[in-house]
Amino acid sequence: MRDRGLVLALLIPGLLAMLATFILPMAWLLRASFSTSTMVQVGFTLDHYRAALVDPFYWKVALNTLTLGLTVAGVAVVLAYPIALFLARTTSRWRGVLTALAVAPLLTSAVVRTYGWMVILGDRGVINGTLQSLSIIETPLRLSNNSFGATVALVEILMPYAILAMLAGFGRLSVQLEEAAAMLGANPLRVFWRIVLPLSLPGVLTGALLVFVLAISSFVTPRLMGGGRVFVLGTEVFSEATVTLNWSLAAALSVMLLVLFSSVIVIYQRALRRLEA
Amino acid sequence: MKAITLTLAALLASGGAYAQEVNVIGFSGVFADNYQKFIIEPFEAANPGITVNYQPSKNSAETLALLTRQAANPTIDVALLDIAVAIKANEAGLFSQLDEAGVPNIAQAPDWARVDEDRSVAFSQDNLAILYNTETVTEPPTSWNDLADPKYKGRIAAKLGDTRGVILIPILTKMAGGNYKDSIEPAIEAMNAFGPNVLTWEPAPDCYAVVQSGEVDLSICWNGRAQYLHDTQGGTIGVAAPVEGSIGQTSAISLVEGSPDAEAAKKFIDYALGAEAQGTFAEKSFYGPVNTTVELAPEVAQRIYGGPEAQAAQMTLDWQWVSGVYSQWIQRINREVIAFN
Amino acid sequence: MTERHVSVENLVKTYPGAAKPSVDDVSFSLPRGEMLALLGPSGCGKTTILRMIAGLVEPTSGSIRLNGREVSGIPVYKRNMGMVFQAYALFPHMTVAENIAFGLEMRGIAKADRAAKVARALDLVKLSGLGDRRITQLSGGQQQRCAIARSLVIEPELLLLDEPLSNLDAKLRDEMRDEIREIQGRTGVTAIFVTHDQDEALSMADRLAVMSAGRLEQIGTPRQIFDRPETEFVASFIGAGNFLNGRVTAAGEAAVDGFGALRFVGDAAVGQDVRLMVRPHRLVMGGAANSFTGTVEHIVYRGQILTMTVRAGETRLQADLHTHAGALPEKGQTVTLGVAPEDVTFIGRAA
Ligand SMILES: Nc1ncnc2c1ncn2[C@@H]1O[C@H](COP(=O)(O)OP(=O)(O)OP(=O)(O)O)[C@@H](O)[C@H]1O
Ligand SMILES: [Mg+2]
Repeated sequence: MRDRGLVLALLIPGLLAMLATFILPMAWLLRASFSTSTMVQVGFTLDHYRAALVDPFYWKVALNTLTLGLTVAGVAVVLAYPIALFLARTTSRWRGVLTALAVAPLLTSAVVRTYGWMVILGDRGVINGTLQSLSIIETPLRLSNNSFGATVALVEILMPYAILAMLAGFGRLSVQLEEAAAMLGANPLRVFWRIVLPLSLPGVLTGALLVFVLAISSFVTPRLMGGGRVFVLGTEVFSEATVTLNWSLAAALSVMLLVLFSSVIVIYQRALRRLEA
Repeated sequence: MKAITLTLAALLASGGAYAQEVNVIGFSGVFADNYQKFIIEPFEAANPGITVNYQPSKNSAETLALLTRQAANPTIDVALLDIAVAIKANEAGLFSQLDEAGVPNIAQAPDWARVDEDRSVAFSQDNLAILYNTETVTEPPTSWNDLADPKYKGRIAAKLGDTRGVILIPILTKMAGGNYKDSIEPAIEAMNAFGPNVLTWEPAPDCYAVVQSGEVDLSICWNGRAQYLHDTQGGTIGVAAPVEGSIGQTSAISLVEGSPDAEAAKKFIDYALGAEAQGTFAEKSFYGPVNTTVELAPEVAQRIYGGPEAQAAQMTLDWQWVSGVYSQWIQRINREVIAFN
Repeated sequence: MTERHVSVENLVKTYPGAAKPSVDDVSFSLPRGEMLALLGPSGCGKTTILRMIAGLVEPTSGSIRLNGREVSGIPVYKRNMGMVFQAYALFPHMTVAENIAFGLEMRGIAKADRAAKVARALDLVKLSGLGDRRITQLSGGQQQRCAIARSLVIEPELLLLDEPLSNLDAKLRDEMRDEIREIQGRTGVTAIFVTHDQDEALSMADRLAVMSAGRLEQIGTPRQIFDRPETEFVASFIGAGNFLNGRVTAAGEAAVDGFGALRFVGDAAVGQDVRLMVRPHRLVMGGAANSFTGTVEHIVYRGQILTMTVRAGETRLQADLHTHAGALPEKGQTVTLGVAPEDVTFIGRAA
């Protein structure tokens, strides 16, 4: 009994922090999305939801968001997997340093890295500059200010998260299991397919989910790297909130984004648990 | 603690019986510096009993959010906002009505500048202009039509998903002989004509830096800051004021409803709208004045509005009307122009 | 010697960066069907030898032959050896049956045959009916059996076990000890197992290879190792011993403090200084040959046995005597102990 009281007492600071930083803003968001005014919370209306749902543009934006999220998650996972696998398996004494290096990009802000990518992929950027000076191309390739640029930058920015999630999810991998499989006659390829891949799958899927969620909720990178051409839910919410000042619509869009993607996460987690069972 | 507060209050009450304070919230950056130097400081000099505190805000949307939060118990007396945002704020009843008795200088404001029954009064106009890189562009553009010149393919930055686009629409509509209140179709068409030339609709970090750095040749931006950058950054940025004329991004001043010190605040607003303040501010910041009695020196007018032809073609907007279509216009620009280019 | 099924010659392994070799010039061989125990203290290189045979570690030099054929160039997955790991290394994402079938699958054996073989293997290790269990649903002993079944079902040329019993509790360990021995006997597979438990080695193996610091000290049957240790290390590592210094006075006889003349087994030239060893439990009360008279310095009664230290001059002997209900020696008493000459082992020249 006393233990339970103690546990509750210990939980209080965390719960309060949750309340202040998560639940209250969420409640505000929900309230605002039903407001009859675009700015203050009064009355009750479903108009903002209706407006968003009947507008084919928002459906297209939602589809764009989904496509961007899936592409970024897919590419980031494919690129992060070998790195994470190497880091998880290496016995090198540089492992710590290498891991730190792999996730070091997290130490700089996404905005800074986005600017970095603008320098690399821009019309007068490193790549176009090199190709032009080598006379391989005449006019610069359009590498940024479109969804390609947004995808590339997001992949790079989110890859460290994928690596971290994978490293955390690779708990069941072990060199000994690989050795056991080899002893039983599995060549390296089959060891990978039958042992390493299935055992690392939970980590891979967690990484994919994390990147997907971060990608679909991003707006700075799609906005800057997309040259304004990449319309995703994040950029729409941002522009409704800050440009047209339709806070209620922005709130409704956010709530829909939240509901849509929390259900994705729930379904995904279910599937994941089944996989691990 | 309480004792100290009481003592302080007593001191203030006795020592400066007429000490008054006006809290102003407004734009940040160079605007804030100029506003402080050329409007607040002279005002304080003329009114020794009143202190004006200027609080810079990141943008009008943030100011609006702050005012909304404080609506019941405001600490701010005067707000400087983009006029479209000011109209939004008036929908929420955030500002008090002014009158010629309390603020005589509003009589010198043109009709279009007095919105929402004098709840907000326009005080400056920052013209939309075409910026060009003076190193890469040898022949500066002279017309809005130049944006569609194929030689600028992939060389233009145009952030049009905000007030810039909303201002460009009436300009382009008028050029096609139309009226923005009837149909903006011609403007959408004109935007699509130069759309293929646009490298980015979201220049980063802003529409000035991309010209300065040579990333683009042309950029659609505000005149005031461009003139300032022209003077301070080695003249790389040139400003072209198209002959078809332009419209200014309009800022309005408003008295916050429930202002803690409305009397002093009105005095300040009156000064800020007056000819002296307006004239100096225009000259120093290249923002067009909104006071019918101000006479600008020709070279100043040139840098604010462009040549005589452009000056003659300078337009104003029915902001009250435009604010009703503001988000709809932005939506159309996004969906019918940007999404296709 | 019978047919050499497995032979290891001059095997050396120096890990990169290591100052000393972990395995230093080790040679031994096994006939088909033999079970050899690699025994030695922690870090002496047992696992390293096993892993070199398996192909998991590259030898620095030396050769490993299977049926007379050098295996060094053959990759692990083609060596056809079974390995039971200390932590079993069962695949957590597969059922018991899938684990056992894995090796068969890798060998391309048809599904139906696979099922039959798996069933037989499950039967062999007494896991019938648990084939569909997940690995996590097995007890430690069951996991152990599963690991053995998995490595045996592929009918390996050689079965390697690395401390297979160390994760089990004492009772289960005894049980599995017998069972492994029995399964190995039944299948006739040649096996090498690593252990640092002398009981385990003595009771399970046909022969023992005792190692120390990377070197092979002695290889032989349990009796040879226990009764005729060739080095002091072997003698002291396996069982307890009284070590005595003496000088050979005649063939098979040495002068040792306290004993006078001590007869022993072993070749040593007259006049040579020798080191002799007597196991405490081989000493008996009284006795005419090799008698030693001294004072009981210390005594502990342990139910089945009585352990006492008897001192004469500078020589102390530990004796483990069977107890009985009659009178037993007491501390301070003078007693005479005796030992049969064949229980006195010559283990080398005195240092
Ligand atoms: N991968 C390795 N890299 C470097 N040194 C190693 C490696 N593996 C083992 N060693 C060293 O080689 C020596 C022998 O190790 P090994 O694992 O063969 O001992 P062991 O006899 O099996 O010991 P234990 O009974 O503790 O398992 C030890 O000193 C060990 O530190
Ligand atoms: Mg070992």
